[in-house]
Amino acid sequence: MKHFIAIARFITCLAVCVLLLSYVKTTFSNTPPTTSYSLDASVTTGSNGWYTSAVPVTLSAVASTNPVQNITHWIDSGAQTVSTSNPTTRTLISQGPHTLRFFATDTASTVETTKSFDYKIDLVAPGGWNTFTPTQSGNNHTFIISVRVTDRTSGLDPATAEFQYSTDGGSTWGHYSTTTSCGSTWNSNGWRATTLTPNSATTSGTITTPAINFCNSNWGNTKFVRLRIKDMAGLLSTKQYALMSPWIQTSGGDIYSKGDIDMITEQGTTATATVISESAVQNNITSSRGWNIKGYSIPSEQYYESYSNKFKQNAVTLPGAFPTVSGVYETNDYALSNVPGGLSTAQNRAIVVFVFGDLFIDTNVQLHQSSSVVWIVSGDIGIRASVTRADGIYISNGAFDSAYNGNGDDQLTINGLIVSNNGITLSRSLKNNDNLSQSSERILFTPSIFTNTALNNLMKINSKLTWKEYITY
Amino acid sequence: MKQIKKPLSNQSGQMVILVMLVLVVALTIGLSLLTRTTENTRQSTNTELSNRAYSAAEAGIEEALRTGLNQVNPVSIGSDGPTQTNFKTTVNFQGNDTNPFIFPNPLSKDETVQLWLFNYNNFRTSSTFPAAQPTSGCNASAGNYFAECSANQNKVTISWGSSDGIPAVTPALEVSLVYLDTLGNFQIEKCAYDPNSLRLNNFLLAGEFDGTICAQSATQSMQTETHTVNSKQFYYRKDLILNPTGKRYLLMRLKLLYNDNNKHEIAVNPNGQTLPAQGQVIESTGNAGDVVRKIRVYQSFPTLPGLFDFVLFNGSTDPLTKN
Repeated sequence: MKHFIAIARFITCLAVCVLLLSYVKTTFSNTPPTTSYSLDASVTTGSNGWYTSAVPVTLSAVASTNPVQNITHWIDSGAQTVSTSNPTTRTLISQGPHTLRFFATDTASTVETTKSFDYKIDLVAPGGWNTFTPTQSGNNHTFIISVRVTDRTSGLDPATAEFQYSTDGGSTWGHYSTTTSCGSTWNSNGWRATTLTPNSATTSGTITTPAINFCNSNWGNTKFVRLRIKDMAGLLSTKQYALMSPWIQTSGGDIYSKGDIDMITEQGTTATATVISESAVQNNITSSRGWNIKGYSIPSEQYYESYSNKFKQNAVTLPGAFPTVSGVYETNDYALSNVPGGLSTAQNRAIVVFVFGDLFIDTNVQLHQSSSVVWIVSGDIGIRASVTRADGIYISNGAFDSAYNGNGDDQLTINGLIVSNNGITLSRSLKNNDNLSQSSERILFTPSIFTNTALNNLMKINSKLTWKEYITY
Repeated sequence: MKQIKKPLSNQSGQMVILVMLVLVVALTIGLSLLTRTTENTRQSTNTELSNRAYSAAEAGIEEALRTGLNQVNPVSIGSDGPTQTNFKTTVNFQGNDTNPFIFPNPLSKDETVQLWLFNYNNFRTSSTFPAAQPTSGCNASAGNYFAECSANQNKVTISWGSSDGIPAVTPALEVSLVYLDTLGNFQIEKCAYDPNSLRLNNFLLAGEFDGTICAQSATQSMQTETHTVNSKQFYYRKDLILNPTGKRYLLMRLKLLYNDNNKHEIAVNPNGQTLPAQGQVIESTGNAGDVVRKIRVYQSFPTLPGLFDFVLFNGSTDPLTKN
């Protein structure tokens, strides 16, 4: 009997011990790891909780009972990354507001409750300065300036819109205490607050100054104005404009320059597509979309030779009277001084002219929007200063000059495009103060070149061929 | 002791067997050589016929590329005794269906391809371009144009990026859309997308939208995710909604940037709508004797090179100035 009781006690103790162990294991050994995050010291913090640099984040998991197996992390609703390194680092670079989520898992597959880190990144200062509009207010040297600016990520901070100006050709900068009075106090190097009117999209707006008296009616004295604004992240952007200086306008096509792009000013919309340069200098040429790329190389070639090889085989000599019939023509040095009356209304024409030597456009050339004249020139191309319209596609191994005989003071409009391998000189400046409201050169891309069947057929060499033998007996 | 000699006739029989064996071996070798020679000759003849058939098929392709015409009846290009060599060709337009289209050649940096949104085939031999002006409403009449009055929001999905690759050479995409407006004027609008947010070029990034045709809303923003088109893998995708109201879309030019010599493919999915033909497929059958070989060639419709996307291109290190 004693033995029986002892055995019963032993079994009861054993059962209690097993239950206790089970409880302890359930209660304590399944505690998940704990993960925390820390930001790298290199992170720069802007205003309003925005980061203005890439954000390296280190996730560190501390084990509880069991060792850490891995750390899982992901951004917004993106794919999850599972890292077996502990700690693990992830660099956050996507601009805008985002959420990093993370949790750790231990070797017993115990999963930590998901934690998160909300962050906002803005790497780009306001840009896309465009639609610069000086409006005369009172005398001929007092203007209200307006210009549009954009910040797509954090948005513009209206409280930071400011301006200053120069009345002495850019030597000194500041503003008068009363901007319309040249007798009031001059605040040297000072900036004056002005208004930002948001546009329909909350990320862009128009800065408008009060009337500014530039105190000098001599238009030989260039008037400069600077505007600046911060975005909500605190990134500052400054833009300088010159009033009455000549400026160019392009639309519809991209711009590329192997060398610097250096314009003294930009007034209205100067470019509507991507602006690319191999150099890092792009002064006063802003894409209205904000698409400015620097340090980007695009190889060029000797176009006269390469295009000759491709589609000059069936060229005929350019007749004395400029043709209105589609075809490929060739000639030596050439000056276009007369165009047939029907050229401006002829539709769907493709006239490709190879010029071995230089080309001079000495008369106005107007084409129907569906027609193209393509000049492929081994030498230079010059437009006479008196010419106001020179529609065409100009491709030269040499240089291009918008007023080769000097003193071009009328606006030149080219519906087409310009390609030059030896420099593009845009030397016109408008008379009668017209620089204020008009560009001196307008180069307007003609998208109809892509649907010009005659032109496409003349350039059949650009058909892509893919050969494949598919059955062999 | 007298030696016993074997009968001579027995010795003579052994010789016959030996001679017979030698003859059999010689005959076997001879027959083998003869068979091999015959086989070589036959193979040589077949190879020559095969080459002639392939050359004939190539000639057919060249002829079709030159004329653009079918050759239903065999066209002889020579004979060698009784052996005739000829070709037949068929020329058909590729596509004009609802299938996704992958451009046949991958693109290097700054290369451009063109997607026709109207039936170029109908106009390519014409000296005029009979594109009717769109109206301010839906343009249901023409039928020659992509996505007229479609109930499917006129959506095209562009996929690009054959590999995720090194971020520095991740391909960005510039899209140029050419259309006619209600006044009959040709217009162009551009969109640009970059999967790499570190370039700071202000192209639209993944998830971004700008309220324009480039991305009206977040659901139309560029996506960076692996997906397949016609069994090929792509990494970046963008939906474009081509609303035809007041616009008649004619074509779309697609240019890759940044990708250096890393070539990437581009695909376009019309999402169930009919995508106009993008080129023609030429099939040529060459015959030489009883050998037949076939070649298929895809030829895109001709397009202008990427240089023509620029309005100003300064290939000189001299600055582009205005002062």
